[in-house]
Amino acid sequence: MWIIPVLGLICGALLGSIISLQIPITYAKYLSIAVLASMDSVLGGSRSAIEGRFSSLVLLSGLVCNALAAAVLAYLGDRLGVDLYTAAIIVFGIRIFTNLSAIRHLLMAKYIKSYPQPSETAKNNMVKDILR
Amino acid sequence: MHKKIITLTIACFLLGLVLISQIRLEDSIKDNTVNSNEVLVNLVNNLESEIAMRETYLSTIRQQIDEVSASISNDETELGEMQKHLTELRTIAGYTPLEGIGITVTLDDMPSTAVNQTNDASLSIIHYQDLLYIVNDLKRGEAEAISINDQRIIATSEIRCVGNTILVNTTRLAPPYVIKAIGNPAALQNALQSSSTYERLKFGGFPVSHELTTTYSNNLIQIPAYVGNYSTSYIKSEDEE
Repeated sequence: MWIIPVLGLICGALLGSIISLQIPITYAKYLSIAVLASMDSVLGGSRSAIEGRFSSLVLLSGLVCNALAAAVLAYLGDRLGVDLYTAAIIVFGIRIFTNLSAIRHLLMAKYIKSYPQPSETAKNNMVKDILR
Repeated sequence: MHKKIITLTIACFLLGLVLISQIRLEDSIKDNTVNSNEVLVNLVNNLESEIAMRETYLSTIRQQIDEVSASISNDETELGEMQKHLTELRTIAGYTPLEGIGITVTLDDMPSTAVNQTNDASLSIIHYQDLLYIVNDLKRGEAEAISINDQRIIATSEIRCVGNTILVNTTRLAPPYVIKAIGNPAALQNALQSSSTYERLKFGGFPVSHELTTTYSNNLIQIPAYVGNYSTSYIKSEDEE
């Protein structure tokens, strides 16, 4: 089951390399922060899917809103002379690493017998569904 | 459950899309910077080789003119007199290569090992002012002809700086700077040694030196002719009125 989202990622990458999105170079900085926000959302979504508290609405709204908000805040920060760009990078960076380590712990809990179970939520059926 | 997988797939799809777009955007920015630099460097190189080509062409033509003039001057006495006068004026103006006794001054930037990293780098290099002042001091010592790195200094020659290079006769110079001056060696040496610029460089630890050529035996100081353009547009001789 987990192969389908990975295929989606590959398809998106392929589409991105075939069609060229015409983005002005001035906005490259804001697109990069939007990419970070998207990575964070996808990792957060994967984690919650494994933990069994996945919500489609939360994932999609988080993906779009976080990416937009991050880009807008970075732009606003540039106009104000406050480096909100850096703040966004730090916040998303921390969240990405936290999510990654949470996913790692959950996977270890699932596949390594001697590993202590982290929480009750991880025992939810979703784990089996996603990782199968 | 399927709905959740589909949502995650859509999110991953969007991520892949923006990720690749951003990577391509960054690559194109890097390419543009590199390309524009290369274009400028090529432009400079092409223009410099074109200048060199034209200067060679110019010197050939000048040589032909000299030959023709020399053959004329043998014919008639009045014309020959004028020709002699013309040759003298051309020598003074700097359009002929010269040799003679005088002084050779060598100035160089400080070796990079001697430069303290915390110091201002501009304190360890030779600036155009240094060349300008030393040339002026040599003129004070009654130098009759001066060249810097084989660029002849004539009445309209400039010594200026563009970015971090020194230009003389619109030609880029690179250190070490070799200033040659023909004149009375003793007078030139006096002028140089009383030059505050030369003194400052010498005691500031710069690798500067000077060498005198005092006899007409061998190894005379060679000063090349001015090779650039000397057309005029605005000046008018009073005699012509």
